[in-house]
Amino acid sequence: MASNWVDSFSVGREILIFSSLSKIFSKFEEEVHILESVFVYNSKKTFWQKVKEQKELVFMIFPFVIYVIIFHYIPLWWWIIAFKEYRPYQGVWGSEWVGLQQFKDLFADTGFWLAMRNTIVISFLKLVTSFVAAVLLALMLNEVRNVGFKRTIQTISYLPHFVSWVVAASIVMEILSPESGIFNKILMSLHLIKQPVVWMGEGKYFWWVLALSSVWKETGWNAIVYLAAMTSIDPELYDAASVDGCGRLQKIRYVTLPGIAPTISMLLILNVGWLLNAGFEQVLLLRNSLVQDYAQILDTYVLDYGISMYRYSYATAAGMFKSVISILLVVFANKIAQKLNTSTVI
Amino acid sequence: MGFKRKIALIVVFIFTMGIVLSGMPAKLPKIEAASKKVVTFTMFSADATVAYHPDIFSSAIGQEITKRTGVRLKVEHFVGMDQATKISLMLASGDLPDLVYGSGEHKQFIQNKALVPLENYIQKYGQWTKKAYSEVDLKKLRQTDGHVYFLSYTRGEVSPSSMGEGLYVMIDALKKNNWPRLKYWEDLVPLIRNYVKKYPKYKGMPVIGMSAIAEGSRFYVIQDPATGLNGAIADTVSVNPKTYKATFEPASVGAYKAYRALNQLWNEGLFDKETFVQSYDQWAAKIAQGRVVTSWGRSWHFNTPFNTLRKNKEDDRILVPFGIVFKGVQKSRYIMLQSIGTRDGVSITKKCKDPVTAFKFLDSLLNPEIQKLMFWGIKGRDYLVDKKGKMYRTTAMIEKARDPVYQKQEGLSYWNIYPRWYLKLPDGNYVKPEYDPNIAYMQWSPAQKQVLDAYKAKTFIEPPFADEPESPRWGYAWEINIPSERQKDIQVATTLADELARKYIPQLIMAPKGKYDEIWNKYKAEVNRRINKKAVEDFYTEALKKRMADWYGK
Repeated sequence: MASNWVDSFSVGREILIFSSLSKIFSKFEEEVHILESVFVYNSKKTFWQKVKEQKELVFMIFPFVIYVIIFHYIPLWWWIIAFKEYRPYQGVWGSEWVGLQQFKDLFADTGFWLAMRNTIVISFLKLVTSFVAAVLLALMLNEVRNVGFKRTIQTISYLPHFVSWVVAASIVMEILSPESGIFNKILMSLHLIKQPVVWMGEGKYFWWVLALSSVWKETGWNAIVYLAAMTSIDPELYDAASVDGCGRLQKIRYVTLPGIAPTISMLLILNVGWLLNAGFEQVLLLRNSLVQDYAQILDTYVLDYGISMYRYSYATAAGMFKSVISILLVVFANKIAQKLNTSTVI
Repeated sequence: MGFKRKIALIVVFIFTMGIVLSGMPAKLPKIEAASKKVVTFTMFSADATVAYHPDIFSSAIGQEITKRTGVRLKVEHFVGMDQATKISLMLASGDLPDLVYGSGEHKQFIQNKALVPLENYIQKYGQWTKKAYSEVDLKKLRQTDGHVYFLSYTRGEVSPSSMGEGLYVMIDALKKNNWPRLKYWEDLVPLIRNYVKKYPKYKGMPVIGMSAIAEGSRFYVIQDPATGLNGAIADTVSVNPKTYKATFEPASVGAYKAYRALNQLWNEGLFDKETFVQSYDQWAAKIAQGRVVTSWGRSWHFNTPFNTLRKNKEDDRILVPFGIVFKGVQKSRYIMLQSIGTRDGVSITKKCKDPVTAFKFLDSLLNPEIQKLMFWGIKGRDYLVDKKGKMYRTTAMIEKARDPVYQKQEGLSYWNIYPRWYLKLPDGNYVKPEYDPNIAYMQWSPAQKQVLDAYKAKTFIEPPFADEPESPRWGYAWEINIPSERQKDIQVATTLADELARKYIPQLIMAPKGKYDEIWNKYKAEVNRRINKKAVEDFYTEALKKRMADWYGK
C-alpha cells in the first residue's frame, strides 16, 4: 500500500484518496475471505504465511495486545515474590526463596479465614440486595406514566452513585449516629425502639449497614441497565396482554420480567467474578474497632497485615490466592449459565 | 445544526488551549533556574501534624531560605493517617526522593538500608552541626547499626507554650467548682457527675461527661488511661528503672483498674456512647461544640476544636489537662521528656545524586540566622529586636502568627522537622518564640489566662496541672528501631497485642454491670495464650542494656 501512496501523490489528491479507499475496500473483502478460510475451512497454510496475509489485522490489534501485556501480564511476573521473603533493598532476585512458607502462614492465620468469611457474607448480601432493589426500582419506574416525574426520580436515585465513598461514609455515620442520627430519632418517635441503637457498633447490624448503604448508593445506577432492557421489549406484547385481559401486575409478571431475564442472568454471571471484592473503600471508611471481627475483608486484610506491616510477600500471597479463586468462580458461573442455555461471557 | 457547530468549536478551542497551556509551564522554571542556579532536591515528609502549604518553599520564608542557601526543596507532605501504607509502597517501588522524613515509620527507611550515613559528612562539612549538637547528642543518635542517619528535631525542652498532657477538663466546670486542685480520679468523678446533672444540655445538645478518641491509628488515646491513671509511662514495654529489665504485659493490673473505672462511668451514662464508632472529626466537632466536660486525647488532637471555640468566643468551653491518677499513686507521668529524639528526623536517601550538597544544606539550616528565619519568621514583620538584641513579638504579631491564612503565605510553623538548636541560639535568644515564657503566656485565650491566674501557675505543664516532668535515663522503648531480622517475631507479637486491645478494650468499657470480670478474664486468657511475650521482653531488655552501654559507657 505504501508504494500506492507515493505513486498516486503526483496524480492528485482526489485520485489518491479514491484509489487508496478502493484499495482498502478490496483488501477488506479479501480479509473476510481469509478469515473464512482460517476459521471455517482451516486451510493448510503455515502460521507465518497467515500472519503475512493478515498483516493489517495483526497491526491493528497490536496496541491492545501491548496494553494487555504491560498492564495485565507483566504485573503477574511479580507473583514470584509470593514465594520469597521480599525485602526492597535486596531486590526481587536477591531476596531469599521460602517456597510455600507465605501460603502456609496465610492459611494458618485465623484472621485470614475470618476475612474470607466476612468477604463472602458481605458480598453475598450485597449481591442479593442490590439485584432485588435495582430490578424493583426499574420495574416501578417503567410503570410511571408521567415523564417529568419519572426523569426526576431517576436522576435523584442515581445521584449518590457519583458521590465518593469518603463523603458517603460520613453521611451514613451521621444518619446512624445513636446521639444525633435521624434514623434512631425516627425509630424512637415511632416507639419501635426504646433506646438509641449503635448500628455501627454491632457486627451483624454492620453487615446490613454495608449492604443497605451500597443499595442506597448504587440502586439508581444499576436500574439504568434494566430500564434500557425494558425499552427494547416490543410494545405489541403489552397490547396483546391488554387484549387478553391482563392487569398491570400481570403484565409485569408475564411480559416485562421475561423480557429482561437475559440481562439479569448476564449481569449475575459478571458479578459472581467479583464475589471476593466486598467493596474495599466502603469497608475501609465505615469500619471501626467495635466490629473489627465482622468488618475485616480480604482487601483490608492485605492492607493491614501485608502492606502496612511491610510484609510484601505475604500481601502478594493473599492477593494471588484471591485472584485464583475469582477466576474459578467466573469459570464456574459460566458453566452453569451454559447449562441453563442463556448468554455466556467467556 | 448551529448549536452543534458551536459546541464543536468550543471543544476544539478547549483542546487547543489544553495543548498550548500544557506546553507552557515547562518553560517557566527554566528561566528561573538559569538566573539563580538554585539546586532543587525532592523530599517526602510524613508529618501530618500541620496543615502544610502544597509548596512550602514558595512562601515568604521558604523563598528567603532558598536565597540564602541556594537550595530549594520540593516537598511532598503526607495527608491522611496511614503513613505505613504510603512508605511501604514507596520502598517497594524503590521510587524514593532525595530527602525523606518518615515520622513514626522512619525506622523502615533505616531497616531497608535506604539512607546515607551522615557521620563522615558531619566530621567533614558539619560546621554548624558540631556546634548545635554535642558529642553526647551525636552518640545517642547512632542507630543499632552504629550509623547516624538524621539530626533529630526533638531536643527535649519543656515548652511553656505546651497545652500539656493528661485528662482534659472543661474550664467552665472548673470555674463553677471554684477552681479545685484536681489530682485524683476519685475526686474528679463526682465533679463530672454533678456538672452533667446540673447542666444536662448546652445550646440544646446533650452534655457529655467524658469522651475519648478510639479511631484507627489514634487508638493509642484510649490506651492512655491504662498507664496514665496508674502513674506509669506510656511506652511499648514497662522498664524496671534499676535493672533495665523490660516487661511486656498488655493485660496488666493497671489496665484492669483503669478500664473498670471507665466502665463504671459508662454504666452511669457519663461516658460518650459514640466513643467507639465515631471518627476523629466527629469527636473534634463535639469538643468544638463545647459540650464535653472531660476527654482523653493528646494535646495536638485538641488544636483545631480549640481554635474554633476561641473564634466563636466560647473559650470557657476549652479544656485544660490535669495529671489525674488513682488515689495512692504518688506521681503522674503524662508529660515525659525526651533527652534527644532518636526515632526520626530528615534523612538523605541513597537515591540522592549529590548527598554532599544535601548535607551542606541541612547543616546550613543550623546557621542561627536561618534558624531565626524558620522559627521566628521575617524580621520587622514577625518579630522585633530590642536594644539588647532580644527578640520579641507584639500581641498583634502573636495573633497574626496564629492565623492559618497568614501562616500559609508567610510560611510560619512549617519547619518543625528540620534540625535545630537546643532551647537557645548562641546569642541567647530562644530558638522558637513559643519557648519564651512571655510569649507563651500572651498567646493563651482570656479564659485560659484566667485558669492560669486562678491556679497561680505560669504554664500548663507545672503543678497543679502536671507533676515535674522527668526524662528516663534509658529514653523510651518506642524509639528503638527494630532491626529487620528481628522484625517478624517482635512485630507479630506487638500487632497481636494491639489487635486484642482493639477487640477487648471497647468491650471492657461497655461491659454491662457485673460482666466486667468475665470479659477481663477472657482478654487475659487470650493474651497469655496467643502472644509470645518473652520474645518482646528479651529483645527490649537486650536493646536497652546495649543502649545504656553506648550512651553512658557502662
